[in-house]
Amino acid sequence: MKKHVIFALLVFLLLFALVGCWDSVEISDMIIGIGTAYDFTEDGQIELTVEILMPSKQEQGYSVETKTITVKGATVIEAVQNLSKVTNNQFTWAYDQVLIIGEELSKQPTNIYIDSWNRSHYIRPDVYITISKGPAKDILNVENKDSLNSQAKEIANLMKGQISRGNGFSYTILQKDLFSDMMTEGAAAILPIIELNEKKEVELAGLAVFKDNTVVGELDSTETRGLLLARGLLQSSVFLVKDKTETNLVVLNLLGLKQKYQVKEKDGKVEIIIKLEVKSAIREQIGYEDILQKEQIDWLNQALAELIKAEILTTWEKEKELKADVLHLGQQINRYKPKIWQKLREDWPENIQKITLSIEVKTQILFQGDINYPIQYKN
Amino acid sequence: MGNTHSLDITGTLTEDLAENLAKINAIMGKNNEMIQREIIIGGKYGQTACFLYLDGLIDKRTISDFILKPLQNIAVDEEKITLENISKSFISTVEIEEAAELKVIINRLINGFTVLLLEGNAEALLIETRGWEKRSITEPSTEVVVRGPREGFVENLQTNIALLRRKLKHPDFTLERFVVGRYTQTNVAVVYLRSLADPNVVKEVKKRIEKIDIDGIFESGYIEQLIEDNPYSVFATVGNSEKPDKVAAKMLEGRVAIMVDGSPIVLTVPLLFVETMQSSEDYYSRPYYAAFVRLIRYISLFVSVWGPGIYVAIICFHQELLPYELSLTISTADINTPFNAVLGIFILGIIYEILREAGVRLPRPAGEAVSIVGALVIGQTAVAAGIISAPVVIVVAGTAIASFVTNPLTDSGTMYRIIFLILAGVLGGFGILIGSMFFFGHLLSLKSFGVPYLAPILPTYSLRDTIVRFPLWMLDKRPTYLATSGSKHRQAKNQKPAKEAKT
Repeated sequence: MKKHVIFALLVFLLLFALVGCWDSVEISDMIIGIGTAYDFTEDGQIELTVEILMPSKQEQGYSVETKTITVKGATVIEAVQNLSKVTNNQFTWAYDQVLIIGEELSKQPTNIYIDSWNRSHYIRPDVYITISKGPAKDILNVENKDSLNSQAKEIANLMKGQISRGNGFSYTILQKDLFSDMMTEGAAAILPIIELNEKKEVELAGLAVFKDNTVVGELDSTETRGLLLARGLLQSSVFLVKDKTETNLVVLNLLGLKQKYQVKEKDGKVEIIIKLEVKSAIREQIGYEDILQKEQIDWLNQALAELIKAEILTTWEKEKELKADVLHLGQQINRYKPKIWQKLREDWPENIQKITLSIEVKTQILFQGDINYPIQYKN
Repeated sequence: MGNTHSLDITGTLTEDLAENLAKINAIMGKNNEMIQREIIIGGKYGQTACFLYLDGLIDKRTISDFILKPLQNIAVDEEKITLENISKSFISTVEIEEAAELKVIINRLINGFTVLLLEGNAEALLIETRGWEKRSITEPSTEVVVRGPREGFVENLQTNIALLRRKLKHPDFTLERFVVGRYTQTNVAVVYLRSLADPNVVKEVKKRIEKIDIDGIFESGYIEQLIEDNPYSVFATVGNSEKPDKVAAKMLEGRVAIMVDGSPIVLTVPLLFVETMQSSEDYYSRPYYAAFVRLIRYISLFVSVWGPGIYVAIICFHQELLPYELSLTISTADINTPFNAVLGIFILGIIYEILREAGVRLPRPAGEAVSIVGALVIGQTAVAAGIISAPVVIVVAGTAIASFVTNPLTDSGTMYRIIFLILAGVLGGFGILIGSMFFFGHLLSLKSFGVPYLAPILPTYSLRDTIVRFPLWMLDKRPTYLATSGSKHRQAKNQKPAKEAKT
């Protein structure tokens, strides 16, 4: 019995060799990094800008101020380590809201900055990643004294609403999405672009397109929505169409989008059909026509389908121009016709040109709102 | 009456009264409360008789009215007066016996009997004249119920047996008596329902009680500690209650009750883990809320045992588990407090235990003062002065309240809470996992009088009365792991209240 107890205790003590209180840090002693920006300096170094929280105790609750620290290093991790020049270096990155890549750095190969994000478990996989126009540190350095939230938190809030409530201006990319895009064959990675407007507010500015490890181009807002429609990612948007008489402007609200790829092959020619089912509702009408007539509704449906097709086609043109597969067509060929993909994959960016893309859109207007006709003065 | 501890006395009476008295006096010693009174009964053949009793244990009116008066009024008679005709014709108390052995006589004497010795008789009459001050039946303060019987056990064994008997009016009600304690000669009763209780458990209980050989038994807690299965375990494997209805219900599930004279706490064995989560009120109120409250108790147990440990593990090791805003709240509250989280919780926990102990021990008015000082001074001022952070106070206070919900586990829960706190402080979440492994492994290894402690969860039997309580008419099966004999069904099949037939 005694032997057993001693044995059990020894086994138990061994556990302390595995882990221990060496990485125990009180939360109040930690520096909370809330946002990080990465820039590429002229001398080829990585410049890291961290927005840190400085919460302070109040009579009731707390108040938060933020400040930014900028350090340089040959690599990201060296820069992070160099933070110890100015801080005690007890950072927690668990609350990092956003990673911003500066314009200059984005033109460099990605492998010089993304490795550490993925390698360490300190950064959450669901952190937002963006590319900035101009230096990334300028975006974090904006003073926002009136707000309790930090600049990084505000960017995160801006990104958070984009998928479910946005208008297709941009798309939210989390760290894990970026890596999965980068690792997928026949799929170009995209990242949202943010910029500072004249009032020093953060604004969305389309998507950046990756090819061969670097950013090669941008999609404007029309092309962005085309991309989201083609890939079936759009959840919320409004479309402006003219009615049959061309006098009334009707705003249609997207209610639901179903998307399906179809890959066909004939005599070595590959055709990809994107099938879309769009459900929408009338949200606004400028004019007094009775648009609830059947021919009017049919017309509106037709106009919406044309609009969607046109938007997707602009993206398609851009894709061919950039030779970057933002519509993820290669991935679909790989999925549905893997043998053909084996032939195409070698020189896929060039082979994009050989693909025929056709779009089939079925539209359906479901509701017209609480009124059937616009209100007009009768006197 | 099974005499576990018979007194170490030998010898019998003789026909000589003076010699008999000398013998008894020699055993009892001079300086005691024993009263001797000599009378002469029957004028013509006047015989000397002598009463012996211990002052304070007897009811003087019983002696004077039912023994003394009839005896002195015996008319002059031809016949010689014998003990037999005294007991049959004159003494009008209920319990009366004859004995010759000094052992029995002394035993009865110290239990409040009156001993009547008669000249020329080698036997004594032992007349039951017990009477002493006792507490009346009141509502027990430990197990307060909103709905349910208010009566509780008292210190008197006979009263307690009567209370229980009134709940279980059935000939199967079986009672076996023991005397335990060399000096206290405490009466202990083992009570069970013959047709339900597991004969092996009954046998084991009797065996363990007979084995007890100590100077004194003052409370059922003595018995509990001397008969339990796992003396090194933090968990109790013997249940206790102050409420007759609760004990009776437990006996209906096949448990054995142990009653100790002088203690209002009645023990029940075997004790199961699920029992500690039950309250008699669960069964008296309708099932929905009862089931919800049962669930709340399990949550409270979790909070009271794991609460501080998990808090410390999150604060010191796994900060990323906190939502962003909460992390800010906690980190700002923690700023500038001199102690780290483990120490803070430990100190406050100790202070809380001190306050609790003071509140229990002190007389009630002083206890209130203690709680005010505790709540205001320790709670508010310590936070305001920045000695201890507010979240720590919330955690400690929350755990303390939660630990009272699962009342029978309060003490073992406190022990494990400290273990988990230390493990979390050293190893973080990993430590909590290791601790939990030991915790559940230990619970699984426990047995109470041969029944696994975690039954009916593991090994699995009917789970209708565990984490939630099903309606009464669905609890049709008797817990067969406790009640091995008898029918397996405790109610008829058709107990579900049926809708009134259409007429």
